[in-house]
Amino acid sequence: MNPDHPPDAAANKAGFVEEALAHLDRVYSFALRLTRGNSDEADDLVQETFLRAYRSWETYARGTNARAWLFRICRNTFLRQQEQRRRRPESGAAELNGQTEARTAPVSAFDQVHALDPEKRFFASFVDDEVMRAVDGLPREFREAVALSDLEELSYGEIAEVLEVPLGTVKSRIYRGRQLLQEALVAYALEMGYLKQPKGTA
Amino acid sequence: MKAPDTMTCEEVARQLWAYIDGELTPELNDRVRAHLEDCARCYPRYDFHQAFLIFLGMHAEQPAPPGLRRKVWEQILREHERGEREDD
Repeated sequence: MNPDHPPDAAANKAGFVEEALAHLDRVYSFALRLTRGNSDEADDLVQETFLRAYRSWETYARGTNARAWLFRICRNTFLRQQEQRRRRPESGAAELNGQTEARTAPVSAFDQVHALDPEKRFFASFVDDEVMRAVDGLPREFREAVALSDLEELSYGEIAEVLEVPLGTVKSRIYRGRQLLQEALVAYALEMGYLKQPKGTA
Repeated sequence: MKAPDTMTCEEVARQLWAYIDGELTPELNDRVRAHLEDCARCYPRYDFHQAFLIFLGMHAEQPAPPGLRRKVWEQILREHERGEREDD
């Protein structure tokens, strides 16, 4: 940076546009998973996230991980909004969580697919909406870990930074989240006929 | 005879996701790789997990609606102008 031109508000704004706004698509995509695919809520959440980010732009250390920083603001904003909503009478979300948690497949998703479709062709049958609905069916702690690692491609270290938990917790949430997601997708694929029981002997 | 650093299939299954993510220590990484090279049971599981992650990645792209980009931008401009007025 040129020392003759100390950072002023205009330069700050330019820096924000360049470093933070560049991640708008990714923050929106993460917000969609936090809100279980509710695009209106995700829209509001992203606006609030960028407003908060802009207000605290001074505290962001330039050149560090802007994306992880934005995801953390987004998640904290979401949790705060959830906390406020919880005080109002509602809703089906808690029950849904319970159901996902209670369901445990007797046979692993891998074992089922390996027996029925070793070439894994069934993956090609899914459309985007079906995959995202399955992700949205995961309890939040697993959903956000899977979204950050497998949809946003963050490293375990970056995810620990966003979720503010130790690395070991990130590792176990990703492990469990992926297992749950595989089970949900395989169950859905069987229901839809994407995976079929073999007819007679080959 | 079983070598002292040989992992069981259950141990490998527990480390498999972190192995695929490249998040294991070099030593543990080598042990998992050595097991996968020789184990006819674990390799297909590894292969399935990898296909699953590629599949998820293919469905990941969700661009923000164009209207949202404009709303965020206008909000920042308003905030910026408010800040400048306060400075005066």
